[in-house]
Amino acid sequence: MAIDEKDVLHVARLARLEIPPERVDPMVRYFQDIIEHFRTLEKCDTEGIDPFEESGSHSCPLRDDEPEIWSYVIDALEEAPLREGRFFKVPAIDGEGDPDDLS
Amino acid sequence: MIFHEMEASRIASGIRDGEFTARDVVGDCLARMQALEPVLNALITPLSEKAIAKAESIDKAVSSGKSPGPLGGVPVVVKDNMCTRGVRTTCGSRILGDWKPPYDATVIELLEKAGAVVIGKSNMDEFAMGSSTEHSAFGPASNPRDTDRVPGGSSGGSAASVAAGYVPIALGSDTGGSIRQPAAFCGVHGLKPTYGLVSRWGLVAFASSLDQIGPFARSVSDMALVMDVIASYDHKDSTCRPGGRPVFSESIKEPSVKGKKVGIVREFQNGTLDGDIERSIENTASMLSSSGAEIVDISLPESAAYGLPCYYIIAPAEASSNLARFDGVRYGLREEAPDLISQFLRTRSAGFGEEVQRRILTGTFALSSGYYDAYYLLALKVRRRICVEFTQAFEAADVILMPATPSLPFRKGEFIDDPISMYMSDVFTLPVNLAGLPGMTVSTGMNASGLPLSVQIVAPRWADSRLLEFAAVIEAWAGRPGISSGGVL
Amino acid sequence: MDLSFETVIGLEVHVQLATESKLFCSCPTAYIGTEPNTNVCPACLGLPGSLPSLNRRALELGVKAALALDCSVNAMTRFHRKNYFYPDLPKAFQVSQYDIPLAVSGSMPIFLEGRVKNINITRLHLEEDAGKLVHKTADGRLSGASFSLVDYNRGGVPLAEIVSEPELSSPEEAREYVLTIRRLVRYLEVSDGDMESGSLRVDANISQKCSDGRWGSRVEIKNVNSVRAMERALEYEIIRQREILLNGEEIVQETRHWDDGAGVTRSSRSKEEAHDYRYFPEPDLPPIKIDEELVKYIGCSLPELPWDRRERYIREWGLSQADSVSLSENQDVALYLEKTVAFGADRQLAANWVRTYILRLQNETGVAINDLAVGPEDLASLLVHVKQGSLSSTAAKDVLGIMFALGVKVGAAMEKSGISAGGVSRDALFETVARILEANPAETGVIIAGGDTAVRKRKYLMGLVMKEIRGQAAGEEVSAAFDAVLGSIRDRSL
Ligand SMILES: [Mg+2]
Ligand SMILES: [Zn+2]
Repeated sequence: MAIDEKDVLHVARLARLEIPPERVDPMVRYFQDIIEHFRTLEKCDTEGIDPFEESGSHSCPLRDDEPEIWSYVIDALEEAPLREGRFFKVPAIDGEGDPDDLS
Repeated sequence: MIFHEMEASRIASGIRDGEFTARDVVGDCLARMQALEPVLNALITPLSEKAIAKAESIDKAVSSGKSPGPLGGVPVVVKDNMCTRGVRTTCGSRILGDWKPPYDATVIELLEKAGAVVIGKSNMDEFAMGSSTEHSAFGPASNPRDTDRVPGGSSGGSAASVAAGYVPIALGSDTGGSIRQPAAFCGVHGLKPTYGLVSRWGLVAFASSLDQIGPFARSVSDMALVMDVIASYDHKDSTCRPGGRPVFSESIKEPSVKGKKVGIVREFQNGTLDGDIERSIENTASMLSSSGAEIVDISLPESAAYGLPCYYIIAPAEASSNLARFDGVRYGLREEAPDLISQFLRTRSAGFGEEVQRRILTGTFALSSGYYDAYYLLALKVRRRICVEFTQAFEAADVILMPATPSLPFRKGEFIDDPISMYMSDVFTLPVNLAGLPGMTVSTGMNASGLPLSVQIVAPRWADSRLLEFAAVIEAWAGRPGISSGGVL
Repeated sequence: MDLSFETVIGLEVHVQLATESKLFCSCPTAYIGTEPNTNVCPACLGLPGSLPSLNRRALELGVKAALALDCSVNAMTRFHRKNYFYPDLPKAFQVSQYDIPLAVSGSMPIFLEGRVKNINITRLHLEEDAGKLVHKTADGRLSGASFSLVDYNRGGVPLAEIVSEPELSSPEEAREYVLTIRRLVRYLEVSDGDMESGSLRVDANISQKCSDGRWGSRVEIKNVNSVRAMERALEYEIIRQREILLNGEEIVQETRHWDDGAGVTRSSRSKEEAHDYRYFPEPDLPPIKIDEELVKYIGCSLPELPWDRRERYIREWGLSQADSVSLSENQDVALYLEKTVAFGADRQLAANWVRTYILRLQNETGVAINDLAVGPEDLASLLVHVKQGSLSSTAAKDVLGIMFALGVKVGAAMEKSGISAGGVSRDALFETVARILEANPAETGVIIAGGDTAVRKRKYLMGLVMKEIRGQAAGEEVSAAFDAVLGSIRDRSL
C-alpha cells in the first residue's frame, strides 16, 4: 500500500495543517520512508496479545464530587488572543467541524 | 566562593547554616549564566529578577529562624514545557506566543515549596520532539563540552545548564530519551523516573503515556535530594501512582551492589555503537563485578528490533491529539483569518515547526480510519511484548546496564535534514519509556577528545531508588562530572 | 404495486448527570444564568499541561441509571478520546467512552395505548459535555454571524449517553421512550432531565424498511430541543424518506438538522469530508475497575422503579393507567400516596386526592410534597371520614383547605369549618340503633336468622340510623353499635 499525495493532504486536512506546495513531495517521501520503517512491526509475533492490558497500572483514582471555584479565571481569559467581555471570540463558524455532535 | 561549582546539597546546607546567603549563591549562578548564555543559548527565558527576589526571601526566612526547605536557595532551571504561573512558557514553539500559564505545574509548586530558586526556563526541541535542541523556535542550544556540538534533546537546555554550571540541578522531561540522551551528550547525570512516580500536572504533554519529568544533576546525592522533593503523589494526575514514595537520599547512604545481578544487553551492541561508549559499558561492568555484583547476559531482541518503530507510532499518535488544542482560540498565537477553518489552518501551520508538523501528521495518519489497526493498534501490541520482555529480563537481573546513546554528541546540523537518522539517537532510551521503567544516564567521565561518556542503567518499575544506589557506586568509581564553559571563559 | 413501509428508530439520549462538580475537574456544573467562563479551570479550558481526574459521583450516578435500565455494568471500563476540531471543544477531543462503555445490554418498558413494549438498551456511557457557542454579527444580530463567542461553563459537565436499539417503530413510541427516560432520571435523581434547558438531549436515527425488501439508509437527526420537536422531525423525516424510496431513489446516509421554525430537516454537511474521529484510549486516565460491591450496593438501594410501581398500581390497586403513570413518576409523590394508604386511607380515594388536590397544592404553593403542611397521616384521617360518609367530598375539600391554610389537624379544621363529626354519644347511638331495629322487626329478624346474605337489609337499617343521627358518627362506630345491639337481641331470643 503506497502512500500518495492525496493521502498526505487528507491527513493534513484532518490535522488542520496546511502543507505548502513545495513541501508536499518531501512530505510524501517522508511518509513512505517512515511507513516502511513501521512495517517492520509486522514481523513481531503479536498473536493473542491484548493491546490494552495494563500490567502494573493502578485503577483510575476517583475524585470526590466537591465543587471548587478556580481563582485565576481572569488570568486565563487575559491570555485569549481574541475576546469579548468574558467570552472567547472566534471567526464565524463556516459549517465544518462538529457543531453539536455529542454522539 | 565559587558557588556555581557546588553541589546542591552543599549550597542548601551552607545557606541553612548561615555560612553564606542565597542571594550570593544566586548572584554567582546568574553571573555564570549571563556570561555563557550568548554562546550556549540554554535558556529561553532567564528569570534573573524573580530569582534574586526569591533568594532574598529565602535569606529573610533563614535570618528569622525559619527553615528554608531542603532546596532552600538552590538555583534550578526547568524545561520550558513546565507551566509556571505568570511566567512565559513556550515549549520551544512559536505557537504558544507569550503564553503565561495561569497555574503552576505540580513539580514547580514542589520545588518552590522546597525553597528552590528557578533562575530560568530552558531551551528545548519544540514540544520535546527532537534529540538535539536544534528544533527550537528560539534557536539551537550548544553543548558546553564542545560548542560545535548539540547538547542532545529534547531537554538540551536543562542538560547544558547543569553541565555549564548555571545550576546544580535542572528538570527535564523524557518521552523517549529526552533526559537521558542530553545527559549523556552533556556529561551529567539524568534520571527518567518510573512512569507515574512524578506528577505530570502542568507538564505540557507530548505523548501522555510516555512523558515523565526527571532531574539532571552533577552528583547522585543531588539527584536523590531533588527526587525526594518532586516524587510525590498528586491527585491531579490520574496516572500518578497513589501511595508513598521511598526516601531516595536514604537509599544512597551506604550504596552497595554486592550480590546484585547486572544484566548486559547484547542485542544493542550490533556494530553501530561507538567504541568509546562500548568500552565505558565494559569498564563499568567489570568495576561492578569487582564490587560484588554478578554480571549476567540478558536478551531484549524485540525491544531492539521493534522499539523504534513502535515508539514512532505511539508517541506521534498521542501527540497529534495532545497538540490539537493549539487553535488560536484560548491562548497563544492566532493568525488572522476570515473564518474559523482558516484560523485553525493558518495558526497551526504558522505556529508549529517542521518536525512537530511532521509528527502530528504521522500520528494523525496512524490513528486515522483504515490505518488504526495496521499501525496504532499493532504498535500497542508490540509495546505489550516489549513490557513482557523487560519483565522477563528482570527475573534474571536486578538492573540492566546498557548504553544511553549509540554515539557521542553529534555536530550541529549533522542530522537536521535527516529526521529518521536523528530518531536512531533514541534507540537505547525509548524502549524504557515504552515499558514505563526508570532509566538513568550516569556520567562516566570523558574520552580522549574530551567528549562525555556514560552508561544507562535501567531498573524494574518503582525500583528508582535501586538505580540511584547503583549510580552512587558508579559515581564513586568514575568521579562526579565537573562543569565546562565550552571554552568561553 | 402498492408499497408499504416500516419505520425503524433508534435514539441516543444524552442526560446531564446531577453532580455538583464536572466530570474531570472540580469546577461547579452550574452554567445556566452564570456569567460566561466563570466555572472554568485549566482542565476544562483545555490549557496545556492540564489533566483529567474522574468524578466518583458521576460514575455512581451512571451505574444507578444503568442498573435501573437493567444493564450489565462492566467490571472494567475506560475512556477514549474522540478527536475533532471545534471551538466549543477546548482540547479538540471529547473524552468519551468507546469500546468498553460503563454498561451494556439493558432494556426499558414503555407503556403506550394500554400495552407494554420493551425497548432494548445497547449501552450507557459517560462523556463530557462541550462548551456553548453564541453566534453574533458585528451589529449584534444572531443570524448571518461574522463571529461567534465561546463560553466553557458547560464544558466538562458529565453526560450519560443512553443508546437504544433501533426498536422504536413510530414517533409516538419515540416520544414515550424519551418521556419514560426523563421520568426515570428524575425519579432516580440522576438528572433534572429538563429538555428545554438542555439537561436532556436527543439524537434520533431513523430509517425505512420497504415491503419490496429495500432498506433505506439511516439518517441521524440532530438539534431537536423538545419532545414535540423530535416527534415533528421524525414525522417529517418519515414522509421525506418514503417519498424518496417511492421514487426509486436512494436515501443518503447523513446527519440532518431539524429546523424547528421551518419544520424541516436539513442536510448539515456542507462538504463531503468524512468524519474521522481517530478514537484511541485516553492515556491520561487509567482503566477504571468498577467495584462489584459498589454496584451491588447501588443495585440494592434502587427504589421500586416507576414502571414496576405503575404496574402494581394498575394490577393490585386497580388504578387507571393515567392515575398510575402520574402517581408513579415521582418517587416522593408515590411515597406520599403509599404512606397515606398505610395510615388507613382507601387506595382509590387516596390516589384521587393525591393526584387532584395534593399535587395541585404542591404546584400552587411551590412547596415540596414532603414539606406540605398536610402530611400523609393527616390526609389519611380526612379520607377515613370521606370513606365512612361522615364527610362529603365537598365538605372534605373545604376541610383540607383549612388544614393547609392553618396547618391544623382534621379535627380542628372541621371545627373551624363548622362541621362536627362524632357528635353523637355512645349511649345515644346505641339507643337509636335499638329503636330502629325494634321499629323494623321483619328486617331485623332476617338479619338475626342469617338470611341477609347480601347485607342489603343491614345497609338499609344503618342508613336509617345515619339519617336519624344526621351522619354525626363514623360508619365504623355505627356498624359496631349495630353488631352489639343485634348480639343482645339474639341473646335475648335464645
Ligand atoms: Mg457521545
Ligand atoms: Zn474545570
